[in-house]
Amino acid sequence: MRVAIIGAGVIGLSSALCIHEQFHGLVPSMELEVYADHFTPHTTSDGAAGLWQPYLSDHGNLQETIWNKETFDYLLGQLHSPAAKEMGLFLLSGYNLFTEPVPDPSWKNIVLGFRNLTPKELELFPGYSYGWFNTTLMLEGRSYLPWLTNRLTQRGVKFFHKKVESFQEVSGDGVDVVLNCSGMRAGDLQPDPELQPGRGQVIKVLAPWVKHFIITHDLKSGIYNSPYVIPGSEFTVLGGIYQHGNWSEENSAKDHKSIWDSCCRLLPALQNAKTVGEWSGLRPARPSVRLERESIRLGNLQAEVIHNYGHGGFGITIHWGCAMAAARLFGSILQEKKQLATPPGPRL
Amino acid sequence: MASPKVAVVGAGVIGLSTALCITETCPSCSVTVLSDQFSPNTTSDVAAGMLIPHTYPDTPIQRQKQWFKETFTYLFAISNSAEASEAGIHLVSGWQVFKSPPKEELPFWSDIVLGFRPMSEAELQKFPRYRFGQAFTTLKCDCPPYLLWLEKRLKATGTQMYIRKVADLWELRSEYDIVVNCAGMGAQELVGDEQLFPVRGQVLKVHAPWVKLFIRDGDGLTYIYPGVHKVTLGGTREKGSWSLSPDAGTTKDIFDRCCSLEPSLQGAQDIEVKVGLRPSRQCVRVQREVLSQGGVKLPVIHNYGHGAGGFSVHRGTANEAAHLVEECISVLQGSSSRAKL
Repeated sequence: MRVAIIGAGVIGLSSALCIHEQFHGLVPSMELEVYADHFTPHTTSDGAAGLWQPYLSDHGNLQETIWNKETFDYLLGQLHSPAAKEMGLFLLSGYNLFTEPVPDPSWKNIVLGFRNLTPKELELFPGYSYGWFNTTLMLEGRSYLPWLTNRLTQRGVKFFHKKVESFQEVSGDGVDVVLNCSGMRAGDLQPDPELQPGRGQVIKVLAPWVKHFIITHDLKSGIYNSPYVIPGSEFTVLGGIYQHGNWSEENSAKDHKSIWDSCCRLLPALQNAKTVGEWSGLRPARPSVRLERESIRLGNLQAEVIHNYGHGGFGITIHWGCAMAAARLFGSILQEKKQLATPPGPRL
Repeated sequence: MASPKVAVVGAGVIGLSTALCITETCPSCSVTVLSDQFSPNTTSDVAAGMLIPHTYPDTPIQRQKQWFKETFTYLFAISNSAEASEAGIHLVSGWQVFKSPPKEELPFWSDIVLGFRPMSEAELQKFPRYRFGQAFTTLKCDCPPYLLWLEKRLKATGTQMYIRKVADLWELRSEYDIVVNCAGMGAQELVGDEQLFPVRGQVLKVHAPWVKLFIRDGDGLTYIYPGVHKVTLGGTREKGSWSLSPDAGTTKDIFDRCCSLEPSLQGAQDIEVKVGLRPSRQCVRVQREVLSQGGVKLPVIHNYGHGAGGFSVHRGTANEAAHLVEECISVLQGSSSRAKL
């Protein structure tokens, strides 16, 4: 049995790993192949700072909140494992800042030690009158993606560097299941007007004295359009750009200035930080994540496609819950194909 | 006395901050810092510089609280300014964990640090051998940067600094009007204080830049303090030991204890071992004394004996010492104007 995964960002690689972990033992003949035009360090996931934090509101999308929680709990369980450093996984505390009181987020009981900010803490952030403190996780794409790649390689998963133009291209020749983890480019494989770019730009600086994340919120301008500072293991990410519908992956001087000025106002000592890089990327934004099966007729063949894309600015935050959900869909496909002799469960 | 000449003996965090406070409180003074060691070779350079107070048994709690509060307020303002990175001052959050119930649920400093609260059940799960914990945000002063920043501020006020081993405070009488004794452990020899004793501390400074939170065992012996470039792993409290040589067995023991609190430290690199002697005393000596020899008087202000709590209270004790210098100057000016009559 052959399984093709399109996309080698955090979604593609983690879905592949989850499926291989769960089903390789049951279907020893299963072969996984990852196809992508970009591999680490050139994927969207590599540009993200790697902070685990969902958006402020889940818009009633409880399924996504569950997937977020599953991801956090899974990562927290990995924190003390010897793999943590190689995965780029570590704890980070910090601040979410607002100019007015807001309701508590859906994730307040998922993260550690969630609480409101005290008046003295708010003195640190003139212009902000309300906020949260909590401890969460960082999962740096620059480490996590290579780690996933190594685990997959050890398991015999093959990688192919090519831009897949259609499902047909990968689904002939004995490929039974296609995992569509193509992120921003999913529209090239199958039109999806709901998928739009949420362009972001970040400046990477050396500011090793910063030990907290700081995310400001301007409820009028929307998520990530307000400055944020996220310290990583090697450099600190400054950001605060979210441009819906903008497909440009070129760094903009105007956005650079906006990020720099607003972050230096937030943390004056950043003025002395040395810039080591700049990057623009497209968050694959969608009103909700597309995670579902689709049977696609291709000539006289039928391929099963599992879509897993549209994770916007919370791909790392939600990835493992989605990978497990994709694996469950894969399991049901196997049952239908009678690859699994009996469904897992108590014998009669 | 137009421009009183003040000598500050000692160039650790106490000497430098006291000298700086004197220039602020008594701008007419001419201040000189004399020390056999300057950064990076002072006891302060070994310390992590965490603002978590040590409780002195014989100093009234209110006074300790005042010292800590002044120090915290002063550093908080710097951490929030453009100078934070140069001064090496940064906020850091973390956890203090206890195997058995802490003596006090609310230490005297709990309302001065930020966001102090008990750890949640979920947070404690990360520490299976511990049953209680406190979470808070405090400040850290990295050395050498903080000492170098103090030296820079001092130079800007015209303060001179000289490498000089002062063997006896009297040798300064001919050049200086007032002597401020911030000699730390050196005060034992310098002024013969038998109440001062070393508490040896060995620490490791390691490269582990993914460690962003501090973790401290409430017994004060095991701690992980992330600094700007390196994480300080500690430690030991060996009362009465004068040895400044690193001990290999102790290094392994510290590393093992810290790894059991934070397993990812197994991947730490560039391990440096340092040793310092905490200049310990039942109470910090911040006090005026007038030495007398053959009819000659030498006013001395003492500011030493901060033990494990030097960074936590340095600015508060420096302020107090500076005010004692100010009082001293009024006395001297009073008596010199009387002499004119």
